[in-house]
Amino acid sequence: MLYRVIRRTLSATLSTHRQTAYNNQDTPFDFTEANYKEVDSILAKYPPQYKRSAMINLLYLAQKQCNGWVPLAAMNKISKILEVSEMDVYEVASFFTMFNREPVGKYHLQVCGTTPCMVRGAREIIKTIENECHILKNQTSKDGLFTLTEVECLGACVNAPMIQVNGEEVYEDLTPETMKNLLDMWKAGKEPNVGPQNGRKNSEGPMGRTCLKCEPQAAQFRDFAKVKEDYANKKAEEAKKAEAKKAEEAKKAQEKK
Amino acid sequence: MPNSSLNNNPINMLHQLKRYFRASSRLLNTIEVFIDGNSIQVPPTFTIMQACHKAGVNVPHFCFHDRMAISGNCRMCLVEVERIMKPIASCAYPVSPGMRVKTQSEMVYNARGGVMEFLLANHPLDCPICDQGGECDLQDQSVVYGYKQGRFLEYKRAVEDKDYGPLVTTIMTRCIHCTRCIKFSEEIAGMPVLGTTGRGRETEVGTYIGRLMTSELSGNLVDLCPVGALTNGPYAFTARPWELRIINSFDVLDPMTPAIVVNTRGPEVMRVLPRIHDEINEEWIHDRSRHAFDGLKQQRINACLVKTQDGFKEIDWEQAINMAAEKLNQVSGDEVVGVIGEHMDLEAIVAFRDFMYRLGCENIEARRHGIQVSADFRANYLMNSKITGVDESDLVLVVGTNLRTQHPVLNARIRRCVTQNDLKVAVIGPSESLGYDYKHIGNSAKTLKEILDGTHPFAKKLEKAKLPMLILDSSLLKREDGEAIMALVQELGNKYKLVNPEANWNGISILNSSVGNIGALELGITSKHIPGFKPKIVYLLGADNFRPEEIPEDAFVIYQGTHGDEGAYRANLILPGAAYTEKSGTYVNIDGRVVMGRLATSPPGQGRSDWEILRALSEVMGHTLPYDDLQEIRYRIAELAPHLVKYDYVEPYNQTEWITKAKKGDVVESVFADQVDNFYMIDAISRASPVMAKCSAAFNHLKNSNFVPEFPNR
Amino acid sequence: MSWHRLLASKIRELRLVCCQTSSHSEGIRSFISKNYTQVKSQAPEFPFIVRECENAIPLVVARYDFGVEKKVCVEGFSEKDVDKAVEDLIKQADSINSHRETH
Repeated sequence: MLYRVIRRTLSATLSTHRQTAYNNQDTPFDFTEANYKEVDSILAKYPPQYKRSAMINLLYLAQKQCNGWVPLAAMNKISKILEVSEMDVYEVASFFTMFNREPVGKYHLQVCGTTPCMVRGAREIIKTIENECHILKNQTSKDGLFTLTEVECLGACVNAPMIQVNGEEVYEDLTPETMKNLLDMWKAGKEPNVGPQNGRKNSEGPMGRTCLKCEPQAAQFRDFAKVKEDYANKKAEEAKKAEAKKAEEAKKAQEKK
Repeated sequence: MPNSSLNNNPINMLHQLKRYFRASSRLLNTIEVFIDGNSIQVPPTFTIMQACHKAGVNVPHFCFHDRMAISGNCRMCLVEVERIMKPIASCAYPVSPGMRVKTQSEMVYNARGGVMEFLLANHPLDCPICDQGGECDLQDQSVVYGYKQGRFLEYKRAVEDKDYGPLVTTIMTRCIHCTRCIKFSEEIAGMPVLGTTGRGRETEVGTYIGRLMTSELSGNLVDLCPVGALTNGPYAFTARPWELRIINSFDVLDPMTPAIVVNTRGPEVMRVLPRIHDEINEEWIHDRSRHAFDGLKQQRINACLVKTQDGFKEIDWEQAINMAAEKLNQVSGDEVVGVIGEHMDLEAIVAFRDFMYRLGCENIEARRHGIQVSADFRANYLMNSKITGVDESDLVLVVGTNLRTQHPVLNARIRRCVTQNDLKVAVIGPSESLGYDYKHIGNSAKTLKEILDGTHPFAKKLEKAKLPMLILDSSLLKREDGEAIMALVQELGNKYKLVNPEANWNGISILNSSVGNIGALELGITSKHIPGFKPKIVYLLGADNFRPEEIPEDAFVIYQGTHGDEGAYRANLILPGAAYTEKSGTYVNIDGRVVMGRLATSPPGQGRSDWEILRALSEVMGHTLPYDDLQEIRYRIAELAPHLVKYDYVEPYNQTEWITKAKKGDVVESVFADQVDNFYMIDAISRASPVMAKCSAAFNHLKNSNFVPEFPNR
Repeated sequence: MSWHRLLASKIRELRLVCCQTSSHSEGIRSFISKNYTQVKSQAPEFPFIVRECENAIPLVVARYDFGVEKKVCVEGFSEKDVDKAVEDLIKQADSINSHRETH
């Protein structure tokens, strides 16, 4: 039996903290001014006694501020903002795999490896990245540019195989060549186009758009206020008629007498 | 209506009515539940597990603990409830009327076996090397409820060990993630440093950042852990539970005298565990109570020693007693001073008292450096509201102490009441973190004066409180202005209904610092320390915490005690006594509860029970004390104060009218400093303990307290 | 009462044992309540030890020099009787104290 080394995923890393020079209790962290405004708007969404509901939001904000990872000091800061114990923040940050507790490269390449992508060649994409950047899964390249992780389905199955970068941009319809192309562009400092890399438009099939080719008719615009008014008028008329009829009948009855 | 024929007989009618009354469940506040076919009545707020316990049925569990929140994550307590398809976690599911619970059905057997199989899947095969073997919940439950063989063929996961300090050793691979330690550290110790990090297979219980468990109650984690993940550090690999003798006793290192179990193997005390006692310590003891006993094996005085030019020389008992008698015969009674130590039992104190008075010596110093309280009425020096008064009170004002380091078990109780009963706590004194939210309203007697005037905002709160409590540390009463502070407190008591005769409530509670103090006060020993008095002979009865300058250079000091500490260094004649695990002694705790500590081993070497030494000495001197055995000396104690032979009982006393009025005076507005500079070393036994030394070194620099040390670090 | 003044100089300690609630300790209880403040004002350092215990036989015990103790059972006594008993104990002080040889 081949002895398989089970590599932990980068985001889960270790379930305990490792003291390093770049990440310990004393490493300074504070949200920027702009981010503090964001923090306030996030906290405003929750009742004041349930500040801890904002924890995942604030952790993600800290991760974005620190270019893709959450330092320990950020977690401590968040615990002070939310008035919870530090351990509560550590528990949440270590549970969710989207929070990286170790630094990642400038481009955190998350390659989807589940069934639709795998069938369409995700393994080759991973191999390409491994060869081009000289890293294995869960490692960061020496120049600090690329980190490779394999993640679960990212919901772009029609455009498989695909990668997500830094949790934001998605590059789809990859082939090993287009993948290499993307990597080269990043290494050169250029920004490639987001989306399908084979010229496809969104998720269109190979025949292009086959239905819904014409524009829909202009939307009906019903003036409900007018309809209501008409209805009210109609009602009033009918009421008048009924009254008039009653008056007539009463007259007739009197005449008979 | 009953039959008319029965109507004629009024007694029958009465019986009929009684039967209707009893059968009506509207009047009884309980509902009927069927456990394995047996019907029992339980309150509607019970969970199924509580109902099963009431019915006498054992439901296995790991994560459930009755003093902490319900988690429901171990799933071992699954039972079958009729008409519900899935097995139910009985620890969390409330009962409903007419519920039928089955704890012996096939579904339950399969559920328990399955849960056990899962738990054992990743559990290492450590039983031979695991300290918990023999008292392990997992072992016991797998024997009864588990399958014969597991089906797990994959690799087990391993977890790295965490460092919590010298007291709690961790082997986290054995952890079954019951989360009891997490709940304890958050809810009871008030330090939320433990948590579960990671997920799934990589879940780890720990502090994440490698913190030490600095809580004074950290030793209780070992009791809580159902497996061998958290084990007793100093006790590791030393004994198996079936080798140990179990002696139920009370601990004397803590003035609350928590109930403990002393485990011995042969002549050696192997460990100390807490016993459940709801009125003193619930289920917890602090780290000094738990681990300082290894000081009983170090620095022991095990023979009579006399100081000569070349150091101490060993002599036998006859010579020692004769020498002591000779010295005492040479002086008159009023040139002798007796000092009673911190851990003295009542038998020794009574023998000492009788002996000293017979010599004509009236100078028995019982209070360490003169705590100015009167021994006249018990309400002067006891915790009048009782430890259980914390549960009834709605406002506690703590004066002059950091409860977390001085009385951690009481602090845990207060924390429970703060979170459950909405108790409000205010502190005048050190502003340390106590584990719960409290208001720090001042740090000197100035605040007390302001509250009395009504100028302090806290005065309003005190006024509104129904059963307020004022916890006063006895260290305040040994200051120069101690009596003035007491007078201030008494005035507060009268103004703000701290002393409430209608409710028979006296909220003024003095926290005394040692059982020897309280015992002496109970027996009426009240002599003040007279500064400047130069005795010729000083008899130290186990007294180690005194100022050496109080004893004149040329005085002959007789030290009767157990450890070679301060007292022995100064002594001219040393008589080996017995420590608290080596004698059967009566003690009185801060409540006024009389407890009997049982002897677990015999004193080492030539040691004897303290009262026996005094009895022998008295006979040689011709003032034979009138008791020869424990029974007789206890009769003598009962003669002095009859309540002192009612064990494990707090004798009620008149605490609202019979209070000695303290003399008013000027209070010095100096800061109330933390009196305990080192939680781990405050008496002879803990100073001699290597474990306490390790704890000191490991924890004290982490505890960050800004205090004024009264004694230099020993 | 006159004996208050003599108390501290004649005897070393006065101990009163009583029951908290029963009727036969009524006398000693009222004695304590009535006399305590006066005793303390005359002799603030004098040990006037009161100990209660349920169903205890009420006693007044006086301790003289050299540990000699004399006790009087005051069960069922009225407050005046207890007063008299204490006075008697004080009166005996001189004879007891001088009787004892000193070292």
